[in-house]
Order: sequence, then C-alpha cells, then structure tokens
Amino acid sequence: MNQSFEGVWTECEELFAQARTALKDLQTPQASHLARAHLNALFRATHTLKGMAAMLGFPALSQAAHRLEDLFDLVRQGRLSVTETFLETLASGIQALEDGLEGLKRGRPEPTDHLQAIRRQMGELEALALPLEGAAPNLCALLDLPASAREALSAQERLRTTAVLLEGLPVRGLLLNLDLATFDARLRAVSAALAAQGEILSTLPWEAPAGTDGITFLVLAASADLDLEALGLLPGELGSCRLLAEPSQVPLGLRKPAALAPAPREAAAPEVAFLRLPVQWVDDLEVRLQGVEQLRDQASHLLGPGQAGPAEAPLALLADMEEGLMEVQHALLQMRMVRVETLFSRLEALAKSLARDSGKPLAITFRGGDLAVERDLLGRLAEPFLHLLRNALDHGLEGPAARRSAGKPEAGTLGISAAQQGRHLCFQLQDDGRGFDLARIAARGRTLGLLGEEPSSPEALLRLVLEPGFSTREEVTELSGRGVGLDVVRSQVEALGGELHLSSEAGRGSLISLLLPLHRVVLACLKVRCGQHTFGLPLESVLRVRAGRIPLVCGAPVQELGRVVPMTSLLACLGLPAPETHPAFVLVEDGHEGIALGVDEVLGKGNVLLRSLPELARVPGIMGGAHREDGILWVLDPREAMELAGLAQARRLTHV
Amino acid sequence: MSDSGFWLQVEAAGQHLLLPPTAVVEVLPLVASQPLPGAPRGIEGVVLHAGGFLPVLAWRDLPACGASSAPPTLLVVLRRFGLPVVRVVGMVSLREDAWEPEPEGLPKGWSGGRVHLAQGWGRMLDPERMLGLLRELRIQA
Repeated sequence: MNQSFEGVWTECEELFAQARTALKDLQTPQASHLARAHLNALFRATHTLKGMAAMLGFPALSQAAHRLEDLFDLVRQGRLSVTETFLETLASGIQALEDGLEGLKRGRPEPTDHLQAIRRQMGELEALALPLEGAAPNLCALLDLPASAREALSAQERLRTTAVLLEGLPVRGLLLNLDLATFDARLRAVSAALAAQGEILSTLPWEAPAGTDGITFLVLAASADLDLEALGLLPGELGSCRLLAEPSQVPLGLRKPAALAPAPREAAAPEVAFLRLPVQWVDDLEVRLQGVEQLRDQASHLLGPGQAGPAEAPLALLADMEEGLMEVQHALLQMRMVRVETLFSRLEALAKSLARDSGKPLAITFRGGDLAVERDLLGRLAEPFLHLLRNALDHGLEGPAARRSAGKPEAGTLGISAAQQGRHLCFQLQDDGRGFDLARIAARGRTLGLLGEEPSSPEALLRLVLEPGFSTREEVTELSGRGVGLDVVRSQVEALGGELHLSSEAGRGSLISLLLPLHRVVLACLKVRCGQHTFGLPLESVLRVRAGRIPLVCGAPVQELGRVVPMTSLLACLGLPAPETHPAFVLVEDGHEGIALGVDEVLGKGNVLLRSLPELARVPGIMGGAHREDGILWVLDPREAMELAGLAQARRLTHV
Repeated sequence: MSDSGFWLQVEAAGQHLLLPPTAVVEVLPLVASQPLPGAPRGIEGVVLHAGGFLPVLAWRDLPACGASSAPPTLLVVLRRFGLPVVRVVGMVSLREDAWEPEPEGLPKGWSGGRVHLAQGWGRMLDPERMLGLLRELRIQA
C-alpha cells in the first residue's frame, strides 16, 4: 500500500463509520428535518468517498459511490421517497463499498461483479423517482407570499418547499428585524436555533417595516410546531410569525403517505469531534500526570493525621504540583496545534494523483506551511480542500492541448497558500486555468430561474456558483460535477464561522479564498516593551530592528532599507499616552506599506500561543494576546497598526 | 427575564444586584484581570477562562454604579463577560409582580427593573442590556 495514502485510507474508514451512523439514524422513525440532516450527512460522505476512490485509482468503486450519491440527490430534491427498499439498497451499497475498499487495502482486485449488482439495484430505485420536468409539482404557489417573493426562491428552495408540503409539514414565515451592526451574527444564531426545530427552506431579504432602521429578513421554515421562545430572540427582533402554507392545501391527488412517521421534536445530535494523536504523546501526558499524582500523594501523606512535619513542606509540594500541571497544560495545547504543512503534504499527493488521472500536467506550489493552527480546524479543512482540488482539476485547468492553443505552458499551475491576516486565517487556492465562465453561469442561472433577464455583476454571478445544486456542466463527471463541491465547501467554511470568496479572470484563472476566524494560533513574534506593556510583533512583518545611540524622536523620519519613514510611538498607535522619544524602533511592513514603531526595549523573539480577543474586548491594533507567567503579551495586528500610525502621525502634525 | 422566580443576589458596585441564574456560568475567586492597553470603556481587562480571554467589567465606567463597600473577591462568569463582585448573598425567590421599573430620570442602561429586598433596593442586571450598553459605550468612544 502506498504510504502517502495512509491518511486517505484512515479517512475512508471514518467516512464509512459516519455513513453507517447516519444510515442507522435514518432507519429510526423521526422528524423529517432530522431525516434530512442524516441524508445530507450520507450525501457528503459518499461524495467524498467517490472522489477518494477515483483518486486512488478504483473507478468501479467510484462509480458505485457516484450512483449512491445520485440516489441521495433525488431524495434531497423530493423526487424519491425514503422507503424500506431504499434503506435496504442503501445499506447494501455502503456495505459493498466498504468491503470493496477493505479488499483493495489488502491488495485484492476491484470487486466489479458485486458492485455491478448493487449499481443495478440502485438504478432500479432511481427509475422510481419522479421526473424533473413536468411531473414534479411546484407547490410554492400555495405560499401566502407576494409573487415577487415566491419567484425569489431558488430552484432548490422551490423543490424543498414542495417536498416538505408533500411530507405533511406546514411552512411558516418568520419576519426578523435585526440590528445592522450585529445582524449577521444574530441571523446565524437564530437560524441555528430554528434548524434544531425544523428545516430552514429559505432566508429572504425583506422590506423593513416603516419606522425601523435595522435590516429585515423573512425566514421560511418547515416545522410541525414552533417554539418561539427557544429561538433566543432579543426584544424587538421578531416582526411576526405566520403560517404561509399547510399540507391540507395540497391537492388530494398529489398527497402521498408519509414514509416515516414523524416522531416528537428532538434536537439533532451534536457532531462529535475527534482528535487523532500519536500514542506516544498520550503516553507522555500520562507520565506527566502520574508525576503530579505522586506529588499529591506525598502532600496527602504530609497533611494526614498524626503528621507534624515542617509547614513549608506541603507548600513546596504544591509549587511542584503547579509546575507539573503547567507542563500538562502545555502538552495539551501542543496536541491541539499542528502545522499547516501536514495538510499541504496530503493535498500534494492528492493533487498529483488527480492530475495524473485526468491527464492534466500540473505544477503545484505551497506557501505558509509553517503556520501552526488548531488541529481540529485543520482537520475540518481537509474535506473542503479535497473538493476544491477536484473542482480546479476538473473545471478550472484546461487540458494540455487547450492550454497550448491558448498560449499557455502545457502544465497548469496551482498555488495553495495559508497566511494569517490580522484576526483571520486566509487560505487561498489559485490556478491559471480558464477561469469561471460567467456567460454560462448567467445562462444557467436564468434557466434555473435564479436570475432575471437584466445583466448581473461578476460578483453576483460568482456567488451563484455557491448555490446548492448549481452547476454549468451538462454531464456529471467522476471528479466533481454537480457544483456540489463548492456548495459543500461553502457550508463547511461557514460552519467554521468563515467566508468563501471567489474571483476569476476569463482565460487567466481563478482565485478561491477561505477566510477563517482565528481563535488560537502559534505565532513567531518579536517581543518588545513599550511603557508598562509588553507587545509581540508578528515576525513575518518585521523588517529591521534598530536601537539609536541617541533617543529617537517620534515624528522624525528614519532611513532604513532605502526608504524614509516617520517614527511613531507604538503607544501612540494604540491611542495611549506616549513619550516624545524612544531608544529603539522596529521597522514593520505589511504589503507595500512600512512604518517605524518606536519602542523602549527589544526583548527577543519566540513562539507564542495567540488567543483572539472576544468582541467586547477588541482593541484596534491588537489581534490578540498570549498568556505568559508574567502577564499577557499583546500581539499587534500589523495592518491595523499601520493605519493607526498614520492617524497618530496626522494627529501629531495637526496638534489635535 | 426568568420564569423560575429565582435570582442570584450579589453585592457589587455599591448595591445589591440580581442575576438570572440561567445566565451565570460559574462563580470563581477573583484573580487580577490583565489590563488591556486601550481597553474600551466599560472593560477593566481580561482574565483567562476556559482557554480564552474573558472581558471583566469596569463598574466605574458604567452608569448608576457606585463604589463598593469592600474590594471585590469573586468573579461571576456570565457567557460574554465577568462581573467582579464583593460577595454572593445567595439565591432569592421573587414574585414577578414584585419587580417595578426604574424611577424616571435614573440612567437605566443595564437594569431590567428593581425590587425591594431585605437589604434595600436590588436591581436586576440584565446581561443583554449590559451587552447593548457596552457596545454603545464603544461606539461613543
């Protein structure tokens, strides 16, 4: 077995475990929104398995996974019911895939005959699905909403609305008036609470009621009943909650018996996170803890009845215990952090395999592998990157012939980078392929009823690509296909509290950026003292450190590395009282801008565990802090510090 | 507003405060908060709690808050911030109709109403109102 795929096999095993759990959950009678959550989990697992099987070079397994994925897609669209036969076929299909991959792992050939039988069963099931055009009813007309609002629903939203009404669930509309400053966070919070009670069908921007100055949304949700108090709404946020359509309105001829009886409302089971570690690390931790236990036993003995030892002995033991516990804490933190390089090495192997299979020569580069981030975060990025790689190879990069005729080198280039940008982690994937075909996106958007005839901006068209089920491809391919990849990526990035941005230039390539909030990160810093505080400056932004023989005057220009920049006190940048002079300065650069920050002492460099500041304690210019024995080291955000230095300089010049 | 009728009574900022128990995460011995350079008004500093930074309230910056009779010794941890308090008096059961609005002219800010206790007036510290007030103070700055 190829050692570089060790992680892929392990991931496959985990995906099968997830699929088995989701299938077991699906077999239990339950509310439809929970059944849908399990179906989505199965869909995601098989989508990833399909890609992995193709990447490992096992087309029959990949095709079987593809068929399973088709079935889930049909159920998601409301065109196929979840019946006993469906569940049995599903269980056989997943078992066959698992057996097949287990056999491959042991060096056996692909079990083509067995898989063919499963694929046939799945094909028969698929034939039972309602045809997309014509026969599938659209029950959105039942919604008690203006026509313009009904037309604003995407194709997927219309299908789901129809499906839930057919399943016997009413559709409700919640009008939410949210504060402009916090609407995104509030909408996420309310949506999460609502999703625990039912299925969110759509979130539409809405006209704000007269006299209000916030932002208003209409959230369409399918739920048998709704506990408004459980939504955690703040005073004034709920405009109204009303029934928009109920199952009794569905024409008798269209009603179908419920496949699974809805159970009383229950919350979706929380996702369980796993931390995979070398056993040695856990062993070391156990040894450390045993050391602390021994100290505790000694202290217990000394403090026990009949013991009258010197009073300072237990205190010394307490100090030793504290030191031992700090070591344990440090070890635990180390376990949570991992270098981005570990993800990059996996991606490199996958990218090369995909390139080989698709016959597209590829030059791939990585940047920022040294960055250490939380292991959990990095683990959750593996799947989105897998989808992005597949999309880049399948849709983005042209074949060698097309590249030659476009005047490009035969090998496509793909650059993947990770960088810290202030309070965010920014991952980027850039290719030099054909870029997104905006004309095709617009045409597809109009076909799906997502766009009107009026022209749309490139940004709006690129956002459309992230809509569930959107794809410009007529045919589904082994690598990606339904636009599912980008939808999955978006939902996964949003689940991490991040954002996904696309940009593209026709014929020149595309850039996909994943912006993730930074909670904890290990950062190399230059430590400085200024006034009573110690600060850290991200080392990657530091160009030069200089201490003058005579004190340097704030506001006076300093000349370094061929540039002349004014010196600004670091304290002044943060709006704090600052002295007129400093004995040293640090030349800091962010992009093309540079400033000289006046400091009192340079303490050296080192790695720190940076924790971000919560919203209430956010201070402009500071990206977070690192806890140390002698207090907190505040780490500056170079970009913000640069802007604040400009303001401080302006204040100085204008004496404001 | 709690339906249970039970409230956590604490002494802080020169008065008796009543907190909805559902909003309280835990009560800890107070450790000195770390001063935050350029901290926004209303925030004293931060303490390390549950692996992250927890902002600690600066009573002196908040309206209708007086000087404490004694230095705070405890930190009442709410979901988004911590309150330094002199002592925890205990849980009190209060009828809903016992509450009355703050008198006209008093800066309300964080208070959800007041109630007559054995020790004098007690004021409801509404965490959501407090959050709103802290955001307002930040904007004003």
